[in-house]
Amino acid sequence: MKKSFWSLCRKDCRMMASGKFFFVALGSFVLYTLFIRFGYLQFMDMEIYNVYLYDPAGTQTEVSSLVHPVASLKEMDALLVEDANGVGIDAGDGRPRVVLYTGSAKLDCHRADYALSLLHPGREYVPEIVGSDNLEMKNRKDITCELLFIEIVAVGFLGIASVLFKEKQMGVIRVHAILPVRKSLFIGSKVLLFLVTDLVFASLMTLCNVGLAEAGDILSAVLIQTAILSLIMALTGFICAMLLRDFKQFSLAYLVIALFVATPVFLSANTSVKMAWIHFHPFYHVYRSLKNAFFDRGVTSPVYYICVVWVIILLYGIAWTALAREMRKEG
Amino acid sequence: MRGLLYQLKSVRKDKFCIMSFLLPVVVAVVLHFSGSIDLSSLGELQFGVCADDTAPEAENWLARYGSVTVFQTKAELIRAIREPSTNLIGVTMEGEGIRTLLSGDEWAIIWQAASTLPQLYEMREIAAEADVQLLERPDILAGYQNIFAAMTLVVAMFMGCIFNAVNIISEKEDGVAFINEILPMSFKAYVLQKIFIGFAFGCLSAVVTGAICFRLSAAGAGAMLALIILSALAAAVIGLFIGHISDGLMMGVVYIKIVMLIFMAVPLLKYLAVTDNKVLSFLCYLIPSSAAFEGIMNLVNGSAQAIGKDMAILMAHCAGWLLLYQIFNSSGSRCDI
Amino acid sequence: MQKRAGIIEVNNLTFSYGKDKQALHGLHFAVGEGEIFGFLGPNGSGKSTTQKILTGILKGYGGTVSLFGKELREIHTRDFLQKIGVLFEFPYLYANLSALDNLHYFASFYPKEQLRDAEKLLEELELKREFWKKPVSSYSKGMRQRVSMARVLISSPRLLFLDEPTSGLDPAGAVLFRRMIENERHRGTTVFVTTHNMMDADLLCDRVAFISGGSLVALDTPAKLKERNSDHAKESTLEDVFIKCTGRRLGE
Repeated sequence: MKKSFWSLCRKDCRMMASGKFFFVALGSFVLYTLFIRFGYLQFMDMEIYNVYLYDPAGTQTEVSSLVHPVASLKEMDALLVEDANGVGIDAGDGRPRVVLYTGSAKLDCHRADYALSLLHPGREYVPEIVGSDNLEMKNRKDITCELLFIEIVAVGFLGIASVLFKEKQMGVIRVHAILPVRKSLFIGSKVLLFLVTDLVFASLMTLCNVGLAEAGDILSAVLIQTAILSLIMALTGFICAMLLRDFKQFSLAYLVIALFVATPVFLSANTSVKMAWIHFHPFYHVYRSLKNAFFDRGVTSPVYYICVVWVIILLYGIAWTALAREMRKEG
Repeated sequence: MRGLLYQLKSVRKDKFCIMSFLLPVVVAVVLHFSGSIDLSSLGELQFGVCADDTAPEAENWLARYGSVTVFQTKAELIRAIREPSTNLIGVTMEGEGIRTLLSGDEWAIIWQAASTLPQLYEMREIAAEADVQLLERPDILAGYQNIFAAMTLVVAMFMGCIFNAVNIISEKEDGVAFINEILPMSFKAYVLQKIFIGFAFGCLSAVVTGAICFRLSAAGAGAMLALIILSALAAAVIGLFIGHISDGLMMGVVYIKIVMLIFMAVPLLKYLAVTDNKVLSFLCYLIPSSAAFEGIMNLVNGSAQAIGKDMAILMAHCAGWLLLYQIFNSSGSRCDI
Repeated sequence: MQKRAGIIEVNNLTFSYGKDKQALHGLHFAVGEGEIFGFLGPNGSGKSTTQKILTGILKGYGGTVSLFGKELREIHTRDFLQKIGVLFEFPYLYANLSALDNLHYFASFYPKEQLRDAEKLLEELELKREFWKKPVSSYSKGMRQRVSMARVLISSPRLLFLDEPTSGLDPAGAVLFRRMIENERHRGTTVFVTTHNMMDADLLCDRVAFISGGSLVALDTPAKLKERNSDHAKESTLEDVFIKCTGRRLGE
């Protein structure tokens, strides 16, 4: 049995290599790392609103250094048109009058009050810090987590299906029907290979983008969640490849999954846009667990692990049945 | 002509083709009829307070600036502050004033807001009497909606690229490409047949998407149609290239993914970054969807006069890609297996 | 119909693909050990269905099927699959692997002691040495058929199922394949051949069975079938027998 299993693994490895899967995975890793270092981290921040002061008579004496003085009201108007979030203060007649373009009611309130506060800067105040990360580390973990999720959901899922469709096209699945090899080994070899690839990918992404020091604390938790997601997606890809007629049909399913499954998960998990039904979305929980692993928040709920194990067992059962059906059909 | 009819016939039963063209239309419908996504909460500040710690007056005051969530215990409050997906500012009372708590990984705007919040609280009475003039401008959130819609329209225009690429790859895999090699067909007829479906359905999909998402004047609609036609043509030819250079459906899908990502990301980043850098702008215009997206946003924002530049760029793309394809075709075979 | 005890015993075999699609209507036949048994019939007659049932791919059949003296339902395990070899109608191989790699891969599922040397087999099947390490995607149809045959023979099966073994081969290749099949018979292997090729059936088979519309319409040695069918004016061929028994031409 061991010999059969390694034989299957070697063959699947060669199939993946000839399909350039490893090349694509490596390329993705390089691209993502470059994007994180030279793209995402450079522009993922937002400065507070600019405040422009028109005070020709110099009536405002205690002005913060954050305020930008302007020479005329016309200049202030032009700056406000360009700078959507900017706030102007017209102190031409000695009494400050706040001028700003509307955004949302509450934000406008804050913008106006903030601008006025800069005319009376108090002592420097530093908020109390209750966390351990800084913005850069948070951004690194955020984007690494998201890209890892995308990679496993999209590329891994695609990879296993493309290998299977190739085998279907070559007709060798029907040959396996008459070989003395268990279907479980046939499924297992592919799933294991993709699992190993995904774990290696996750390790590289974490070590290179989060840093060796931080990665040491979170890597094991990240790898556990990666393994869960990888197993789910590999088995789902296997099932889709068995049930769908050709790769073209599969591409459709892939589009739907990538777009409609991933989008609500990202929106809910990364922004304050919350959808009431999101808790019924299975990928939401997996994504949240992966994110919690990155932020060292621990995933201790036994219910989550029990559900995940049952899902994997169920998917494996469906994959086995689908393979048996396909072998009968093709044979 | 008969060849085109058979191409249409084959598309009729092709679920992939039909779905890929319907997808942007579905997204457009969702965008349009979802009652506009309430994105207002995205820009607001978020505060967290403890139930037994914060004075009602302070809570009401905070509610002027953003949403306030009340936590039962300080531990819960701290856990919520540390939650990476939000930028919650924790607020507790400190004598007559307030104290703010952050997790340390927030954006600069949140830091500044939290740093100045105690001072704002002290000055709240003065601020309440301040003279504030609000100037009207177009709804930013409608602007975001327009960006989504424009991006959907760009995707619709470039669906023809996906379709043509998959079509060529399928022909190669089925061996039909060999037959194409020995058919007595001129280059013009070959290109027409190959790009027709992708181009036609890309246009159709984009027209329907545009009609759902935008309300334009007659002149605007005409300009939009011209944009759509030019973009769909460029996309259809690019799709042929992808089909020819792919040595299998797997690689084809990877190339398509990369191309679509570039088609979507470049114009969006260029638009949001608002850069004056001429070199960067030129490089962005090398991607046809940049001009397409810019043209759509100009039309939607009422700056129709700027659209001439975008149309010229798209025309150059169409001519350039067709010429490149002719060179590519004459130097190698139509099907490189 | 003559009934012999042997390696394959089929009694009252029925199979249906659905409510109104009865494919087999009570087949009875037996194949003796070391026999080359031909199974002929027009398209849609039930040949492939029968072969799929015998190889264990199709289940849910009626009647009894015994292989190696045991009921198929009980013995369809890895041990059973190690004893049989199946050549499909088309040469299904890993296109990105070479002939040797394909053979080594498929051989890896069988016990070492029953394996034959891959290179020797390819030599016997007259596949040129310079192609052994090239990917199968570069092979002609005939070459792929040779590699497929090698795949089937490498595990030294006791029972061979061959579907159109000489299809796609030139006359020299067809002669070679017939010789290989004869060699297998001399080794004691039982061969179950499904074919449209009358020459293969006539030259190779100890007995042939004609199936039409899911029922056996004739079963005997080729010589006896021809003898029964011939008249004084003309000597009958196996094709004549086929047409007479099935009412159809080959390939219909």
